Amino acid sequence: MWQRFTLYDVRVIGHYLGVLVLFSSLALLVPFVTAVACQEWKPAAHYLLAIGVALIVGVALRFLRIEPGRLDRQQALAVTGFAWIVLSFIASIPLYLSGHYATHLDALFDCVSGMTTTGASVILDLDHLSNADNMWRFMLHLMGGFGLIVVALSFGLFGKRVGASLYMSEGRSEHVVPNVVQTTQFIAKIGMGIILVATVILTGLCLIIGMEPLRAFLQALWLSVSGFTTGGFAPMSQSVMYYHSFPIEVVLMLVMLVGSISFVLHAEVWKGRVAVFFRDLEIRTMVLWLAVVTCVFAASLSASADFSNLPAMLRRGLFMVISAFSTTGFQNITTNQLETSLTSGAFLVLAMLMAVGGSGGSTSGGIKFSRMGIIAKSMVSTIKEALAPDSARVVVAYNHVGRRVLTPDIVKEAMTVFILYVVTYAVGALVGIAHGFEAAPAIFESVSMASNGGIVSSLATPGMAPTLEVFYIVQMWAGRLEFVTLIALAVEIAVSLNPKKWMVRR
Amino acid sequence: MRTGWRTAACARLGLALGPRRVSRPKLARELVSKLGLAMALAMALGLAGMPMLGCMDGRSDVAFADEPAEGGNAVNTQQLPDSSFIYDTSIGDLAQADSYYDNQTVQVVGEVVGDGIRSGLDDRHQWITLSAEGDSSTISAYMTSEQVMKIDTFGRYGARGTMLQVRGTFHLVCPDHDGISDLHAEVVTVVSRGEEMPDEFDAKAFVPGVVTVAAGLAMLGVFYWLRERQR
Repeated sequence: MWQRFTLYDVRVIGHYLGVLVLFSSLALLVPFVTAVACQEWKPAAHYLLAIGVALIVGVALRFLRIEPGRLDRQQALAVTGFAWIVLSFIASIPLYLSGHYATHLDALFDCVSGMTTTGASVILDLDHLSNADNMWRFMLHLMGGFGLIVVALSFGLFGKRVGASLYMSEGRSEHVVPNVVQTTQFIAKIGMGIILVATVILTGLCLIIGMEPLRAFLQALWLSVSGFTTGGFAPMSQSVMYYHSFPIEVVLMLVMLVGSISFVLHAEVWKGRVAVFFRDLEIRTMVLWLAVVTCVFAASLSASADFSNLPAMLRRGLFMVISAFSTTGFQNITTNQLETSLTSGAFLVLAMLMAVGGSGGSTSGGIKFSRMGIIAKSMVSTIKEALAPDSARVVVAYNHVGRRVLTPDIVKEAMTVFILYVVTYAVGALVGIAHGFEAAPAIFESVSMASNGGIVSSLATPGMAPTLEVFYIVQMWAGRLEFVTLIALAVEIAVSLNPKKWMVRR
Repeated sequence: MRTGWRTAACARLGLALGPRRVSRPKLARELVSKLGLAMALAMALGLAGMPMLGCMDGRSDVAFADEPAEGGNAVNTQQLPDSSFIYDTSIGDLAQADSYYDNQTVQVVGEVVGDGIRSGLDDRHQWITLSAEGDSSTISAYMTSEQVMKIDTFGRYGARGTMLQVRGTFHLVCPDHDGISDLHAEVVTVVSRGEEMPDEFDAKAFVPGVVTVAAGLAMLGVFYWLRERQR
């Protein structure tokens, strides 16, 4: 029997969504202060209005249930699922008022893209965007990259009692330390430390290439946030290509790599257990997958007339491979080059890299190395069972923060999510094709959205068809929550909307 | 044969000869008046060119103009209609260019945005980003530092950048710069100067924000008061 929401559930969910919306009003203070500091008065007025709207909406939602009690798992799923889209609506207010979006749907698209760390953007005239608006775009990456719930839990917004179910509902199941709140605080500390170090280095490099000190610092900060959270927004319309600097690209490649590795493994290295890192199933899968795919990508580039020389292949090819597999979405080649100068094989390889994505428990999107590794191990198990005598009991183990035995439940979870991703990629491609686009870019764009990859071809453009845009928004949202949360939520809503079934559960 | 010299002289001086017959005294008068005009023009141009000698220190806008404008004006208003080269194209075209445009001489007009990015360790060349008016397409232009000095404002929030007309070679995948898509500038001309347009503080613009924040805080106060009463 399907679970359904009662009126009590709706009120509790509304209350906790209100907590998150109120938290967003605090987050909006950062761009407001930036605007005031940079004397950008128009954006300052927009952000003050957005803070006011967030306060009103947040408190109104909290009024739904003044004393909400403890969240159960079902309610936690709904809070997490709705949080991403409700906060995106609030976030889109100042961005739309900036005048840099053709429609409000475009602003919402960018906010969902920012929150889900996809990085695809349909902004107009980005190079004239204010510092405050840029700061807000990267704040979205920061909150979304760590996870809205992780950020909220690390600030203690939900109290001590409701953490675990919320934490699990955001596609995370691994604890760095036993306490959920402490785990989220540890994740935040690691992330902020890496972002700080990267910002210092990138500021120096930006100063060397001739940028003004304030612009150098701000752009270094934004690039570091975007790189570590594997987001993909860039402060300039030419993305990383704008800087024409190989050292900056090298630093960003390292930041993206670090961002695509599980926080749990970060913690292990932090504790000095380096051997655990190298024995891990995810790391081994990553090394194997990248080695194979990079060879295929290089072979494919060699066949092209344009990128076949070694310096171009190394600089452009390597950066794009790391940007694609980490699902960041930075580009050091133009979208036009992506479609006209790369071979179709190289184009497809980039899509495959985004489709698989990075490590589970990291800021990356996509299917994740952990699931690919488990599916590969499952194949090994099947072959072993076929070859083993009837009396033998086949046990296949793998290393992921300690030795674990492969169980049918783990394989089922991995296979379910894998199939859901593949189906979503395929459906998204069909939607693109139905809008009159060529098959190859339609597949590429669909994979980019659902995997939160962010490298885009020519479909996601300002003022694109609203139906396509809404579908891409849903893809980004579903991909970030790894489908299960969102599908469960959709089913519960559908079941609950049957009026005969309405009843007070408690 | 007698009309041959007359035809050639008239053609040089721009006189319409045609089938009509012109008497010799009249032709002589026309020739004298045209020669006088030509000499006057030559003297005027010579005088106008004299101040240029004082600008040889390399700091003047005129000194850097690859195609000298009239007088001391760095803005050359005669540039836009010029079509004496291969392609008069747009940045949008180059942003979607295929191999047809590769290694071709092109000319684009765009606003300078962002920063002048130093190329390499020497200061001889810089990267400039040109943005098209009306759409979001941009292109990287590689130019000498002398050409960059013509830029008075870089476009960003609160500033409209210098509008440049850049003629140069477009590379879809540049072999000199590790495969970037760029435009190697040869002739750079200022079309219009940039402008700083900082935001002016307008208290009225903050009124909706102040009202909503006050309302939100009041609601928050009521919420906490009700919660305390329930406990």
